[in-house]
Amino acid sequence: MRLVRANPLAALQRLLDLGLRTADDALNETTIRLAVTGLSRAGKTVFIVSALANLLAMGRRHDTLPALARRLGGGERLVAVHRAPSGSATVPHFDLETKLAALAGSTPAWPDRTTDLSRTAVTLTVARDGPLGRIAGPRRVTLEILDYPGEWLLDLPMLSQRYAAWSRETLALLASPPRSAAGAPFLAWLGGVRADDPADEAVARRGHELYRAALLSLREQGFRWLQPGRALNPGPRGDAPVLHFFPVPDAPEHPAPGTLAALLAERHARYREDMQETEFRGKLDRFDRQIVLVDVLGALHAGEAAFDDTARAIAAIAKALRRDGLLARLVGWAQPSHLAFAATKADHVPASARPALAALLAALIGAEATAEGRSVHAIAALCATEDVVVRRGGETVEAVSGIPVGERERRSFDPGTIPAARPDAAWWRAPPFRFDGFRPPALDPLAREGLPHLGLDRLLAEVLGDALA
Amino acid sequence: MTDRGANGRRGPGFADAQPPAREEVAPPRQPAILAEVPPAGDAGAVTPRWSPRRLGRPDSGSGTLGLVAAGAGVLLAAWAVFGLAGLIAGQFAVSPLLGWLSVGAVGAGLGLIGAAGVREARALAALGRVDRLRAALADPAAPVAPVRDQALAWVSEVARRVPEVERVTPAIAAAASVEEVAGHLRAGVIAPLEAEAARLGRRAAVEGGAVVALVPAPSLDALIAGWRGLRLVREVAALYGLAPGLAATRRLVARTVSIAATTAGADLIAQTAAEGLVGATPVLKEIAGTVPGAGVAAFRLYRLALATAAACSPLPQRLA
Repeated sequence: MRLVRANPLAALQRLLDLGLRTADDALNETTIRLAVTGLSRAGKTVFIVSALANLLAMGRRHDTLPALARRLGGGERLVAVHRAPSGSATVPHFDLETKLAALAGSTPAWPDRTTDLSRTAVTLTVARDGPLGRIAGPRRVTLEILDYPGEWLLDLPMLSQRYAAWSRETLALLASPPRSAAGAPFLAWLGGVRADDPADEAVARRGHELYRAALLSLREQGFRWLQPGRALNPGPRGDAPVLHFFPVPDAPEHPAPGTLAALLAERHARYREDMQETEFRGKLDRFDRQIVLVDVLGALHAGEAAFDDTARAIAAIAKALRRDGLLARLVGWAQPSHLAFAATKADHVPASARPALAALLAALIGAEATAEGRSVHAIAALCATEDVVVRRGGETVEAVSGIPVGERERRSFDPGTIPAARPDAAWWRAPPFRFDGFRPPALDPLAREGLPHLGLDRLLAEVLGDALA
Repeated sequence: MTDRGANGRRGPGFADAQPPAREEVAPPRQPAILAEVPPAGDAGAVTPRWSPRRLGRPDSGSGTLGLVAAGAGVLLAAWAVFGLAGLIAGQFAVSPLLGWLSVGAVGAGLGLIGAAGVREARALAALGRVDRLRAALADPAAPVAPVRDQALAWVSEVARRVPEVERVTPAIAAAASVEEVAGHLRAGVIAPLEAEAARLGRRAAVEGGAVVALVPAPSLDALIAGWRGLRLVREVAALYGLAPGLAATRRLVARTVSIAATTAGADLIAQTAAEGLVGATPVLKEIAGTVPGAGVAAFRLYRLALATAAACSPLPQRLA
C-alpha cells in the first residue's frame, strides 16, 4: 500500500508484470520431462551430451537435427535455444562442458561410467503459427533430462520383491550356465552356509564380496540383469552395510530373528526403501516421455545368454517405469505418452545393416515395440566411424573404419551379418566377440556446429515433435 | 509314389525319387577387426563429414515491397545526382564563380548528409555489437574470452552515463564462463540501468500524461504521445550506450514493438487488473478523471520505457 502511494506507476507495473508473467507462463510455458534410460554402457551420457549440443547448435541456426527442424517449419519457428536455469534443484547439474572437453580432448575419451544422478534442462523458444498464435506470443518448451547410472535401473523391478522371492530367483539364475562359471566361487562358498545360521557380520561381508565379484565378472561378459545395482556402482555415498546382502538357498518368507537370513532380509528391505526414497521418488517416477537405449550389437556379440539377459532387463525396466494402467489411460495421465527404443552405436555397422539393427531391437523387445506411441530406431548419438568397402577373405564387404579404443591407428571393422530377427541356435555356436568400440572422432570442443550423429534427429522428432508443433 | 485325387491336388505319400538338394545357405559372417588397413589418406583420426546447413529465419530475404522501395531509392538517388550534376554544369556555363559556388554548396550539403550517414553507421554498429553480445550470452557453449571482451566494451560504453556500473568490470574480467559474465551483467549493470530507465519512464509518463490532459483537441493525443514516446526510446537507448540515429531508432522501435507484441496476449488478460488499479491510484485517478485516456497514455509511456530497456539489453529476454 505504501508503494502504491509513493510510486503508483511502479506499483502498477509490478502488478502488471506479475499478471503478465502468470498469464504468459500459463499460456506459453511447457515442461517435458524426458527419461533417458538404458542399461550400463548403452550410451546414455553420450546421448544426452549429443542431444544438448545439437539442440543448442540449432539455437545458433545450424540444422543439426533436420527431422526435428522440419517439425519447426524448417527451423523458421525456432526463436532460441538456451540452457534453462537450475533453480533450487537438489539433483547435481549435468556438466556438459566437462564432458564435451573430454570427448574432444587431445586424447579423446568416452565419458566414464555414470556414478550418480545428474539433471539438465534446455529451453526451446518456439514461435506460434497464425495471427492468434502471434498474439499469444512464442512458447517456451523446457526439456528436462535426467542422467542415471544404468546399473541402478535394474533395482526398479526389485522394489516390489521380497527377499525370499528375490533370493530364489537370483540363485536359480546364477546357478544356470553360462552364469554359473562366473558365480562358481560364490556358489561353492554358499554350499557351506545355511539360511538359519546365526547372523554374523563377517559371514555377511564375505558373502557379499564373493557375490559382488560374481556380478562384476558377469558384467564384463556382457550380462546386464545384475542386482542389486549399487553392488556394482555404489554411487557417491560409497559402500555401506546396507549393501552387504546376497541370495541364500531356501530363504524363508519369515526368517527367524537372529538368523543370517533375517539379517540379509533386513538389509534387502532397507536397501529397497533407501533406493525408493533417495534415488527414485520424485526423479524416475515423474516423466512424460521415455527413451530406452540398448546396445543391441554388444548384446548380439556377447552370446545367446547375454542377448536374452539384455532383452529381459530392458523389458523389466520399461515395465517398471510404465504408468499406463487403464485408469491412467482414461484420465490421460498415462506415462510415458511417447516411448522410443533405440539401438545405440549404429555407427559400428555400415549403413546397409542399420535397418536390420533396428529390426533386431524390435524383435528383442517383442510386442511392446509395435504398441501405439512406441517407435524403434537405430542411432549413433556421436558418429565415430566412416563407412568403407574392404576385402575380407577374398570377398568384398561393407564395413566401418575408425580408431579402436586403446589403439592409435585406424582399423576397419566388419560387424558380421546383422540378423533382422532373433538368431536361431546355429548362430550362437560362434564364440562371443569382444570389442570395446571406437574412440570419439575429432571434434570441436565447443560443439558450435553440434555433434555428428546418426538418426538422433528422427528419434527426437518422434519423441518430442508433437510438443513443438 | 504320390497319388493325385480328382481335383489334381497332390496328396501325401512317399516319393520314389530323392528329394531335391536344399539350397546352400551361407553361414552368417562373424564380426572381426580386419587386418587390412583402410586406404591411404583415411589413416588418421575420423573427421566426420559434418557441416549442417543454416536454418532459415522467419521473414528473411527481400520481399516485394522491399524491392520496390530499393528501386525507388535508386531512382531517387540517380535523379538527385544527375540533377545536382546538371545544376553545377549549368552554373559553370553561366560563370566559373557561380560554378564553384554551386560546387561548394553541393559539397557542403553532401558532407552534412555524409556526416549523418557516418553517425547512423556508428549507431547501427553499436546496435549490432549489443545484438552480438546478446547472441553470445544466450549461448553457453560460446568461448568465454571474446564474450568477456564484448561485455567489458559495452560496460565501458554504458559507464560514461552511469559510472556506478564500472564496479563489475574486475568481476567480468575474471569470469570463467559465459553464464558467469551474464550473472555479473544482470546484477551490476542491467539492474541500475533498469532503475534509471524506469525513472525516465516515470518522467515521460508525467510529462506525456499532463500534456495529453492539457491539449484541447483529442485528435492530437496520439501525436503527442507518439512524439514523447519516440523521444523516450532515444533517451533509454542512449542510457544503454546506443545513441541511435534514425535507422537505428527505427530498428529499436521495431524490436520494442516486437517485445511488447510477444506478450500482447497476456497483456489483454492483465489489462483489466491494470485499469482497475489506475482507478484506485490517487495521482492517475485525478488525471484519468480529468481527461479520459491521459492516465492510460501515461502508463503506456512508462511501459514503453521498460520495453525499450528490454530491447536494448544484451541479456536475452527471460534471462534478464
